[in-house]
Amino acid sequence: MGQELSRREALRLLAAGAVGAACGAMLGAGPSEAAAAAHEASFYDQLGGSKIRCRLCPKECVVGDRERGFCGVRENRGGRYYTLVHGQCAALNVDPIEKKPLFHFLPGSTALSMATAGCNMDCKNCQNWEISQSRPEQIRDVMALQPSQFPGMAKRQGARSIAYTYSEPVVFYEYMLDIARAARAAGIRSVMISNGYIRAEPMTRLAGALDAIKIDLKAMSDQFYKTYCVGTVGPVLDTIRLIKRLGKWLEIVYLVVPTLNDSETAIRQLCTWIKANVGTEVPLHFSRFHPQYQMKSLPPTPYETLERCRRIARATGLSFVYLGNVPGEAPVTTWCPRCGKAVVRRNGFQVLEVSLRNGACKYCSRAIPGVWA
Amino acid sequence: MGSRRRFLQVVGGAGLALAGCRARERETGAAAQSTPTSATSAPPVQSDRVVIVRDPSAVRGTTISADKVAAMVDRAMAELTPAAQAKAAWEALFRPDDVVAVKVNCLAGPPLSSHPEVATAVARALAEHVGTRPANILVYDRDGGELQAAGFDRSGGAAYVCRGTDEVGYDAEPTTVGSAGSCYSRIISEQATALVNVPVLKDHDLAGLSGALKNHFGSIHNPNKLHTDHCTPYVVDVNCAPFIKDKHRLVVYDGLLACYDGGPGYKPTTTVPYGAIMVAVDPVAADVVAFEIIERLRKEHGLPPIAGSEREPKYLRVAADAEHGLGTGDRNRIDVREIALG
Repeated sequence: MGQELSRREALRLLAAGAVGAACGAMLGAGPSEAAAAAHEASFYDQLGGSKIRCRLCPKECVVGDRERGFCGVRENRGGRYYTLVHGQCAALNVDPIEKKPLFHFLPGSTALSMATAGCNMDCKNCQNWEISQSRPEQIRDVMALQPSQFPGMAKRQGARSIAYTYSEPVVFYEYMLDIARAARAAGIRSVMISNGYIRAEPMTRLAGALDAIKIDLKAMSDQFYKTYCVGTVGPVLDTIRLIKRLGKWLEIVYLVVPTLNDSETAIRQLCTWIKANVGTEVPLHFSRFHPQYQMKSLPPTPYETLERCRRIARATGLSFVYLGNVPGEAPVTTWCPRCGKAVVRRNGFQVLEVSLRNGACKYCSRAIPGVWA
Repeated sequence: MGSRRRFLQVVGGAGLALAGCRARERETGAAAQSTPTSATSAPPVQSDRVVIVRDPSAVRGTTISADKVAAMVDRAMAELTPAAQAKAAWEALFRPDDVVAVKVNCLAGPPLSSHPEVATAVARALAEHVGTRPANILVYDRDGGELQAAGFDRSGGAAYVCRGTDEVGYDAEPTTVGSAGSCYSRIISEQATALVNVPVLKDHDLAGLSGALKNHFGSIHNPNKLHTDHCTPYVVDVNCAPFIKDKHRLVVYDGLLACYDGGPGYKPTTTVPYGAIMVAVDPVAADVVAFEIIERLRKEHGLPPIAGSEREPKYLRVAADAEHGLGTGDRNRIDVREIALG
């Protein structure tokens, strides 16, 4: 999932006319226009007898006529598969890029951040469940926005990128791809904030239109994924490797959930895997869990646990390790792995100082990987 | 007249919660053939009975005879009681001040939705026998547009009020029961005190049967999340939510048409006029009998059985087990009465 979209925040933006639109994320009496809007989906096979098999994500849902896939936003109508969310924007905000979080991508810039309804997982701790776990017709105030409208909106807001975020962009694949292509033509970057649950072929096609990708790696065990997310870990790891191979800027977030994925063994396994598969230069963010949705019985992650995660990651050799959802500068500052000086100093989502020269530490010239301009 | 609680303990015993308890007794061999008599002296309703009334003349092409459907519902309800009195059956199951939500199923579009004539028959019987006001009879499904398309009267002048959950809303927070975490239609979580389940007699591509239990996937906001593993155990968990388990009173199966393959969408080649109304207080028993009909139709049309295949509705066994107690899954313990009219 992406970062929290507060309804209050969206309404404030609306009131201020900041983006001319706001999110509408409530399970309530909503219009049905979204469900009526249909755009033929990519990546599916017709199986005969009006059944289809979706080939977008590893779930590969077999969907009968008049039914929808697990995501709730793709529907079989007489043997043809349609996305119901193309052009149906359910959330729109201007966020700091650090909120995604992407720390090595245009620091200090903002991203026009958008989402539709739907997700191909069902995480029990989802912070945006009112959008991600809803069907499009259940969302109030859905905005009909064509892909071509986004680059202009981004420019007017001074945003250097468009972020596909909040819910799960994989499920609005066609919409995202069309926006990203329009954005690229207009000189606006695109970033995907995703759970990485997507098959290789669509990911490869999509990557050509993206500039950075953040993947939420929720655990290293299938058991965790099955129990708490209704997914599996293997395809997520495959996607992370694929993104690296495709040369797209990649950052990884690991939400540390007390007692469920925070053991020393689990963290060591995570860090070892990252080092072995995508290298030590990929930023890793350990995020603090907050109880919500269907996981309200667990406490927030203790700060000490996050510190322990960071120690393990550094001991494993990972160069850029951050702590998310915690106060202070140090956990979110980029430190040069060679000279130890702060090269991007932050406080929360705010960038205080950038000490880079041509993508390298200005003090010792050590290259700092990322997209800096 | 006893207290509300007393009423639910006694008469409401025909409902799901106590039906489940009795089902467990039956599984262990204890005799339990009828619900207790209420303090209002209403005769008992046979909770282990499934009544099928057939009248092929009720369906003529796409035309449904409302009068014949009403007669079928009336006859079926009467057969639920030892004294064969429809009024007694309705009185045993509902109070005059109940707000009765009637869950129809419009997913397949007009050809294979619950027929408005069935909902009207239920609403008129509630008004006549129980004294329920039309404003307290809430015919609902997930989407108002789908109800409209299926032909339900949304003018406000009908024997019932017809609303989609999209017009009323879902709970603001999910309720988690077992493995299913869902927001329920506010029509059943906040407004209704009693439920009538009006499913369509049809096959389901994944679940094997789209019947009474599965019909409540249309009462939650996220049915798409619950189709994994052929909907087992999710169908059961959804029906175990208190909004359903504690309020359920009656199943009125719409078998005027039957789809024996390719559901839940409408498949003209595998949908036949069946001319049946089936009633039961036990939704599991009703589904077991419905599945038997689907299997019989498949055999008649040269199709392999669903039983034994991947999509056998295993959720029926789970629903009937001691942990969930939603009803009787053992066909041998279900008292099926078949009546021919017309």
